[in-house]
Amino acid sequence: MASTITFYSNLIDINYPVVGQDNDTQGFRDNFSAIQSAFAVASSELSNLQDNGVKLTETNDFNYNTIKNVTLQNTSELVKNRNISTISTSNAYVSLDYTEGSYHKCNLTVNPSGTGTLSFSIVNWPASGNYGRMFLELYANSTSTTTVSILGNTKIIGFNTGSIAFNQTSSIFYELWTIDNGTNIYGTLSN
Amino acid sequence: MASTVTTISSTINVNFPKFGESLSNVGEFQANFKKIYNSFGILGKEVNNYLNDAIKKDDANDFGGNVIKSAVLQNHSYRVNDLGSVDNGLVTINYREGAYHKCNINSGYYTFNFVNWSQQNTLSKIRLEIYNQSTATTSTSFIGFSGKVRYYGTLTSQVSLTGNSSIFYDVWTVDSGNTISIKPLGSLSTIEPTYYSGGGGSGGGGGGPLPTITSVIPGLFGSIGYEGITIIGTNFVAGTYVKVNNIAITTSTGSPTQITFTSAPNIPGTPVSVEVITSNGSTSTVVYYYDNSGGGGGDGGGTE
Repeated sequence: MASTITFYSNLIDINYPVVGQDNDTQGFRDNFSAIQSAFAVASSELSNLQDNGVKLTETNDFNYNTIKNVTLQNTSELVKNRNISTISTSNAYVSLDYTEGSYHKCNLTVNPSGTGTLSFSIVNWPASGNYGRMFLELYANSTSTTTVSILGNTKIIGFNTGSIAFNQTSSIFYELWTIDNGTNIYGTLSN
Repeated sequence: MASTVTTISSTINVNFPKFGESLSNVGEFQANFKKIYNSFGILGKEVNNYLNDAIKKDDANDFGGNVIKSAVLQNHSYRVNDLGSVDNGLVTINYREGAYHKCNINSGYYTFNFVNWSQQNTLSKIRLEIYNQSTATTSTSFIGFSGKVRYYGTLTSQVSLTGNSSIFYDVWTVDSGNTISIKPLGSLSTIEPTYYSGGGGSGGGGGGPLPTITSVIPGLFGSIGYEGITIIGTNFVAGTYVKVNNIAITTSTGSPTQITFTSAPNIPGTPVSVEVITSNGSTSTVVYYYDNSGGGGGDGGGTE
């Protein structure tokens, strides 16, 4: 989009008033009007840039517009930390919001006598046609068996069952991704 | 870059006309109007540059390969390039089209060729999903990759998948595609991809004589593929297997002096290594592809 400031500023008569003649005061008013119009346009265009231009000093929300042909340097991805202490004898559900970070780290406080499954549902995946990828790190504080699952039509490479049981005081890692807004979720699991 | 609007606007005579003086000095009026006019000219040009070049949150932005650095990414995604159903032969994957590429295949030979990677000394990475759209219980495909490829993990050209299942690869380069690294992530098939890991590892000494390659017939591979290739040599002991371009392939027949297999499609002029591996070690040669697609003469070289 081109600026239109000069469309109005070009209306300023730089040869007014003319030497040696009686100058109509309308000429002053016309020039002041052109100046005012040019300022109005400049203000509007600068406001647009201030509202929609990217700033180096604050968070920028691109509202899902595309950034392309770019080299990223020294970039990182937001981590979402959370503590979960609901593993008990009954099943529990935890919602993970993709928009809150692409790496979710969950510290699980395990009830040693618990037998329930902790199920994770992931919400707010990117729109269909976009590739969204989330790392999920689960750390259990007990060697008691902990059973976790990822809800939805989830397929983990190398695992035929939807639920994974582990019993270690270390982390297991999921890498989960979708290209269809979470209708199908694929993943790998390492521990 | 700092704005230069005020270099002129600051010279506007804001004290003119003075109170009580005659307004006969019209030249000063003209000078001020001209300075205002010129200041707007500079302002318009500078704003115009911003409107054209500034990054906008409400529009797509093409950085032309420039760098964004020291940023934290949140709620970001990558473009998907869904190629749909692809034919046997060469499949071109264009890095510029997305970071996740999906294509649908049936049984046959598929050689993936990657183009338009990012510039040298930048990491460009894609995820490749190959979906077996066959409804057959088991469908066997031969998947290869063109170019100088480095593999991580277990990889074979022959992939047997159940119908309607996918296999995934991570593919990346740091030198604009001169060398491509590939790591298979595995498949969602209810059966594992078939692996031909063969016998002993390459370069090892098993006590017996090393294999030798006398010739590879034909000496040039047709770019269309699907040719019967014969390796003539010696010491092809039991358990011998073959890697083409560092991927273990399926050989159809074998003897102590002869191994045959079917070539995969590839780009004319592309060199590929043909390696025979036995428990006693390995030997290899380089074979080139020529254009036998009917579009012109061959441009390949000979075997080493």
